[in-house]
Amino acid sequence: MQLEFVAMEGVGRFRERVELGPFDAGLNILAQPNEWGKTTVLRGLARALFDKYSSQAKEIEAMRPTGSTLAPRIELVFRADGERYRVSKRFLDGRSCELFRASGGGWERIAESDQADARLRKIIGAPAMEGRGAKPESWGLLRYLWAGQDEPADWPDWEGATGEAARGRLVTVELDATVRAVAEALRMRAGAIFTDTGRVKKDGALAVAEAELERLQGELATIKARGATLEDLRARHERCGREVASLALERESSRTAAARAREEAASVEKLVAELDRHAADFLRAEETISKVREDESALASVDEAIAAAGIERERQMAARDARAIELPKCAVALEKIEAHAQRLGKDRRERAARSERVRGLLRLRTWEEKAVGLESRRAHAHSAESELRRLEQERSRLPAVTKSMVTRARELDRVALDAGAKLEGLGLRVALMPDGAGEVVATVDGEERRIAGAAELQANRSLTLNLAGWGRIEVVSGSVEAATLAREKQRTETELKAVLSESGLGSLAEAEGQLIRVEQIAQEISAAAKALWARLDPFADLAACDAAAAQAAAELERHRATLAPSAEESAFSLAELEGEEQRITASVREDEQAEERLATESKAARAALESVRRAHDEAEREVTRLDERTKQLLVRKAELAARHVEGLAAAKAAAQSMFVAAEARRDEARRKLPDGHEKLHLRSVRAGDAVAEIEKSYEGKAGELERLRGALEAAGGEGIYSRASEIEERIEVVRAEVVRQRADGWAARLAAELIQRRQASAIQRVLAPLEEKLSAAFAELTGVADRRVFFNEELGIEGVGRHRAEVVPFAALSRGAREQLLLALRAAIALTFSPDDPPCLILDDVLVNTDPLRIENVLDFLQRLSAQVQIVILTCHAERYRGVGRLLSTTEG
Amino acid sequence: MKFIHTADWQIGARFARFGQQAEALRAARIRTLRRALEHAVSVDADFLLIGGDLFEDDQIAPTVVREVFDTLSAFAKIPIFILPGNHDPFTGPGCIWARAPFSSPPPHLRLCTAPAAHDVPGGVLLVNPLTQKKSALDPSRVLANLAAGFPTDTIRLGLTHGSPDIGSHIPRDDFPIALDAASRAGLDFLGLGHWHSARLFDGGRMLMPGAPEPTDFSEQGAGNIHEIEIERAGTLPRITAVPIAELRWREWSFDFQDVEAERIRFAAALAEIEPSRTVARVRLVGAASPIEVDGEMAALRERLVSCMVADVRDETSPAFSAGELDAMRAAHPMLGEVIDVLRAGSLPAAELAGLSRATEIPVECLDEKLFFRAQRLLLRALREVGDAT
Repeated sequence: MQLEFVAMEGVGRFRERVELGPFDAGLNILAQPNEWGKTTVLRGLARALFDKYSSQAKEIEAMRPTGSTLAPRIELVFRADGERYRVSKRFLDGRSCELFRASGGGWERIAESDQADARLRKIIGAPAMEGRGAKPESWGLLRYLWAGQDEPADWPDWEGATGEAARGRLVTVELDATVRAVAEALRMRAGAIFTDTGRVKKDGALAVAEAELERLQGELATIKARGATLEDLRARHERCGREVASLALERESSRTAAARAREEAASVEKLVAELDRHAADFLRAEETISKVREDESALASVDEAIAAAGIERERQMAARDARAIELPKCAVALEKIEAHAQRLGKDRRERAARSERVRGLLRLRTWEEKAVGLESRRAHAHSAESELRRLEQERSRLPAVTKSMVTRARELDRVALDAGAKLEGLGLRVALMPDGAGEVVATVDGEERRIAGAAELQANRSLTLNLAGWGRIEVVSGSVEAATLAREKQRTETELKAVLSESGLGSLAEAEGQLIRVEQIAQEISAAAKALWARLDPFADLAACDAAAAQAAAELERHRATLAPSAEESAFSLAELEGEEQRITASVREDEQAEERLATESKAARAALESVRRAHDEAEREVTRLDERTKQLLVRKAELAARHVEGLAAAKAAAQSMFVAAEARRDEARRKLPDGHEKLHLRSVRAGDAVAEIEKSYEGKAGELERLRGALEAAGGEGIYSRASEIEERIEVVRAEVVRQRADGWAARLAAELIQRRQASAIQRVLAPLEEKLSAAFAELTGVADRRVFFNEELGIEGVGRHRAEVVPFAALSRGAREQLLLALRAAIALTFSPDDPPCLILDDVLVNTDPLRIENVLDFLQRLSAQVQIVILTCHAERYRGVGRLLSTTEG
Repeated sequence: MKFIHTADWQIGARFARFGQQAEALRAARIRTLRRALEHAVSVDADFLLIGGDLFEDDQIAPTVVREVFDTLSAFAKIPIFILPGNHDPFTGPGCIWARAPFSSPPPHLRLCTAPAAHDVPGGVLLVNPLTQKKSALDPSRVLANLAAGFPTDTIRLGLTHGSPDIGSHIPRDDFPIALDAASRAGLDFLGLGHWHSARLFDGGRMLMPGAPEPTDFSEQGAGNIHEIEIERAGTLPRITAVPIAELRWREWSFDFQDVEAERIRFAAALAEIEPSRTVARVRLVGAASPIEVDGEMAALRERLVSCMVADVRDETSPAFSAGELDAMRAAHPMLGEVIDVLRAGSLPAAELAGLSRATEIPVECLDEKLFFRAQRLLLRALREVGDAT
């Protein structure tokens, strides 16, 4: 494809139509300054060739001139496959597309609209486009030949159909379509199972099978664990069974041992019982002989006691008789004492009655004195009370003057006097010194005075002099202080009057006199009150005093009525009465002492009489007791004698004989007992306890065995084997599926990988010439001859170097070197693709990073290349290309 | 005296290799058991012996156990002696014999849970059941002790379970039984169980009856029960094998060496079988292209579809004729190279390591098998692509 002419309007900065061309078949230089729109031309060209006219993609919209609604229009004329074509496209508003072919000196429209778009892409070798907007990936080979600004140093990837085709074409290896299809089928097969990185694909058949397998294995493990539990149960049951059997044996053995111990213990028990019986016999014989001896001894004791009782009886009878003689003597003495005591008592009672009478008279006298005293106190109290009442009445009549009021009045009076004194000091002084007789009427402080002769007038503030025949002279003080003092004085005096008038007093002196009187009468009232209380004391008030006096009078009358004193008694003085009372009291006391003495004597006599009587009775009772005792002893003696009818000696001999025999039998029984017989019972008990313990252990184990049996029976019925079988059968199927899927996946990956390796190897084989070609071109461009360009299997530029093992990676090359290398590669692509109809190579500022030294090499290369390939260079450095190719003319507006 | 001797019913057995078809195999065994009992009744057998391994395991599903019990219980006219074997030993409480329903058997079911002598019509039956899964002791020795207690004019039968001691390849803990165990114990007949193939020992007095319903293709003489007749003590028993199995286990190989001949042979073989009673396995052997293999496998599966269980196994090695290979190499040289590598089955270690890294396949898995499978897949893909194009 060769460009011949390009025009655009409403595109980028080209609001007006701009035309470029005609293009040369070789090297074309579009040299314009920055921002002229070189890149816009390149983009517009690409849109016209590769974008659908109907596209409304944002890239198309972005073509409009800034701020306008102009519809982008692009027209271009190009040559391809020996034909000339013209394309006219209008985007967005009024969009349209027409494709013309040169025919007979004119243009024949061969397609329009979508057909025109499709036809155009076919002509220029771009793949069919699916979307409305065309991206560089759908430009076909032109993607690799048109290098936009900033793109020359980067190489588009080789992915996609275009890349694949380009690679294939480039290396002249036409890959076997069948091989590709086989490889793709294998990849798809592997891809259904594994991811590209070799991992199991999620939701793939293998993943599903593996998940199912894992689930089943988990289920199986659970069942097997249950089986293991069952086996464990079985083992425990077996172990427990052995223990139970062992315990059963032990139980049997211990039962036998216990029975044997019991028998031995029973046998010994019989021997012990026999021994006990003989021992008891022995004890009884011993007891018999002892009793005989005791009886013998008792009989002797009884005889002794009978003798002693006879002697004692005689002694007691003698004592009883002696006391019987003493008794009448003691009774007579007692009677004498008691008669004396009776007489003395009568005298004492008579004197006591007299003494009581005298004390009554004394109490009467006391009441008489008390009644008189109280009456006197009552009278004095009444008198004091009257005086007090009088003084209080007098105080009530006095003005209500108080000490504070008088103090206040005194203070006011003093203030008024001070003010007057000060006012006087400040006041007017007028000296009247007449020349002759005459009289002057002066008004001083409101007081009119008649003055004749010389005089000196003193006024506080004003003074008026009436001079007869002359007139009146008024003298007034202008002092403020005098005015203030005058007002103060007047106010104080007014207040003093008010204070005094409150108590009905006319002056301070009167107030002071009244205050003295008030204080005096208060003192008198206090003294009268004290006198009254002294009279009343201890009574609380006058009424109590009156009541006490009345009560004393009544009491006196009562005593008088009770005693009814005779005239003689009434005549006794108080002293006589008191002396009589003392005398009688002393007599009574002496009588009482005498009575006490007689009572003591009487008591002693009575005690003596009682003692003699008791001794007599005691001796009498003792005689009786000794008689009884003697009787009992005699009975006892008879009883003892009755026990041994054959005689005590014979009985004693028989008992001794029985004792010897019993002792011999006991010793014989003792000899029959085995050694350690006393332990046999304990051993028997211990053996019994051992049996009980073993029984308990046995029952415990037997219970456990039973429980295990129950657990085994319950667990045994679960059918674990069958359940496991079912799952294992399913596992077998799933596992086979897992194996199959994995093997299939791996096998497919393996086969695909081997095919890919063969492909890569084949590509590598044909890459060598290309590498040679590019290496030569790159050496020409750079001027460095000993370097080669190496491709990788993906047809990416691996790098540059003398050997493959020492390459400098493409990415590590300088930007200028990369530009030059890619320029060479683009040239190779253009030539290789279409040697008869090479496509146009467009390079936008491709030598930006090429140093001046190499530019010459590049220009040589481009010039030589342009003999085969149309080249369009967009640049803002026209000087670099002077003398090279053809400068494109542009027409604007 | 006439009785039936069987063993190794293996009820509830696992057939993992048959996947979900295993259930059908298990169900058939119970039907066969019923037929065996019916046969015993029909021939007026005095009793029936089951010489161990009635069940495959102690932990069979309760429903299955119940079904077997009900089947056995239904034949009350004939005494049935059941001996626990190594698969279903009497291990005490909780074992299959101590659990319901066998814990309360009807009178005609005689569970032999301990060494004992049982009266049978015309003689005595001496039994020694197994109480564990393994033992190096000869279980028939107990029978000798038991037999000593009976007069020699009494027909003395023995019943136990174990491996006739035929050589060193028999595991020592597999209950080895002396090959002259019957005569050594003075027994007129010793019924055994354990092996699934049938075999007679000790001059015709000791019988391993084989599995009445086979469990594998390799079992010889399996699929029968045996009628035993003994006229009197000291005479040799008359033993008659009675085919009883429901299923026939048939295995064929299909050799690609002569495909046509094999097809004819296979068709003839299929004509002889009852598909609904056949467990069929066909092994494809020889060298064949995957296409051929796929075709034959599809055809075989189609023909075996009516079999109860069918298993077609591809054990071929992929192959092309020289002409086919040449043609393919000419058309697709690159594929020819790849096929050659895959046919070789291996690569140098360094290349294998590189392949492992590139494909993420563990290097130890890059073996001949995988190469063959890859070869097959590649050829299949080639065929598919060819079809598509």
